[in-house]
Amino acid sequence: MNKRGSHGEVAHVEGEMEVEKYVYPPGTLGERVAEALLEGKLLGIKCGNDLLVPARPYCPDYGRGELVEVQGPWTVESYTIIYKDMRGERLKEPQVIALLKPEGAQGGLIHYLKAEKVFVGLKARPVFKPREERRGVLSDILYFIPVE
Amino acid sequence: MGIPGRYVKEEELKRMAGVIEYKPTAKYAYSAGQALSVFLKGLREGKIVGRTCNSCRRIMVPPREFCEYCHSPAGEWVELPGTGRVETASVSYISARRAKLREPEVVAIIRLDAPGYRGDEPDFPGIFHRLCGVTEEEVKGGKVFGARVRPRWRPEGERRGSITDIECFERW
Ligand SMILES: [Zn+2]
Repeated sequence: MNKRGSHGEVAHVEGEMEVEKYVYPPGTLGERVAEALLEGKLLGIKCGNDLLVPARPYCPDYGRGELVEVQGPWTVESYTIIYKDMRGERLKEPQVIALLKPEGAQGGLIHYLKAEKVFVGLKARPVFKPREERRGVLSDILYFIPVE
Repeated sequence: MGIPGRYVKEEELKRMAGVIEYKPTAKYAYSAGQALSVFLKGLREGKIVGRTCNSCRRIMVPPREFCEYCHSPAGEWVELPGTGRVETASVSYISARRAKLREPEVVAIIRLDAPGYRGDEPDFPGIFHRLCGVTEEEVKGGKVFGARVRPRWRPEGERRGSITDIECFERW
C-alpha cells in the first residue's frame, strides 16, 4: 500500500481505536415499533395524508401522529451490490442492498434484497426470521424478496 | 405534562424488545504523509531527523512540510545527535488502555540537542517518550528535570519505522 512521495516512500500505519460497547434502548415510540417487529409487522406513522417510514415520534407538520402498520408492497427505489462486509472482509457471495419504499409512503428502509433479477421499480416484501429468533430490531427481517 | 418516557431497570433492559447492544470497531488506516515518513524511516535507521524552517530557522522534530508559524515551506533536513535534556516528566500508573501497571512508567518531554539552539528557548525540537532507569521519587522530587539523556535504540533487526524503535531515553 506504500506509495512514493516527494522524499521517498510514504509510510502507512494501520490500527484500531478502542471503543466501548453501548446499549441503546428503543425509547417510548421505539418500544411499540419493536414489539410490532416481534409480531412480524412494520410500523410507520400517519401524519395527515402522509405515511412516514420508519416511524418517528412526531410529524413534521401535525405534532403527534398515529402509528399504523405498513402494508406492502415495497418498491425498490435504488440498490447497490456489496462485496465486502463492514470490517472489509470479502463476502462469500455479493449481496444486494436496496432502498425500499412502501406504497404511498415517504421515506423507506435500507435492507437486503434477494432476487434473481434486481431492478429499480421491483415490488418486494419482507421475510421475517422465525418468531422465537426475533428481538424487535430491523434485522428480524432477513431480507426482502420479490412479490409474485 | 411530564417528560415522555420512563425509567428502565437494567434487568428489564435485558428482556426489552428492540434493545441494541453493539461494540463498534474503529479501524483506521493512516498515511504518515511526506515529511513524517522521512522521520519514521530515520528511526528505522537509528536516526532522529528534523527539518529547518527556511524563514524562522527553527528545527522541527518531527519534520514537517511547512512551518505552521511562518506558513513557509520547510527547508533542509537535519540529523540530530539524539541526545538532550529532560524538560519535564511525569509518572504514569496506568497503561494506555487504563489498566493498572505493575511498575509505574516515567514519561518525559526531551529537549533535543540541536545546532543553533542554546537550550533555553521556549520553542525547541523535542520528543515525548519514556524514561528508563528513573524512579518515581526522582520525578516527584523534581531531581530528573534537566538530566542529560540519550535514546536507547532497539536492535537494528527489530526496528519497524516507529517511535517505539527507541525503547526509552536513558541517563548518561
Ligand atoms: Zn518558521
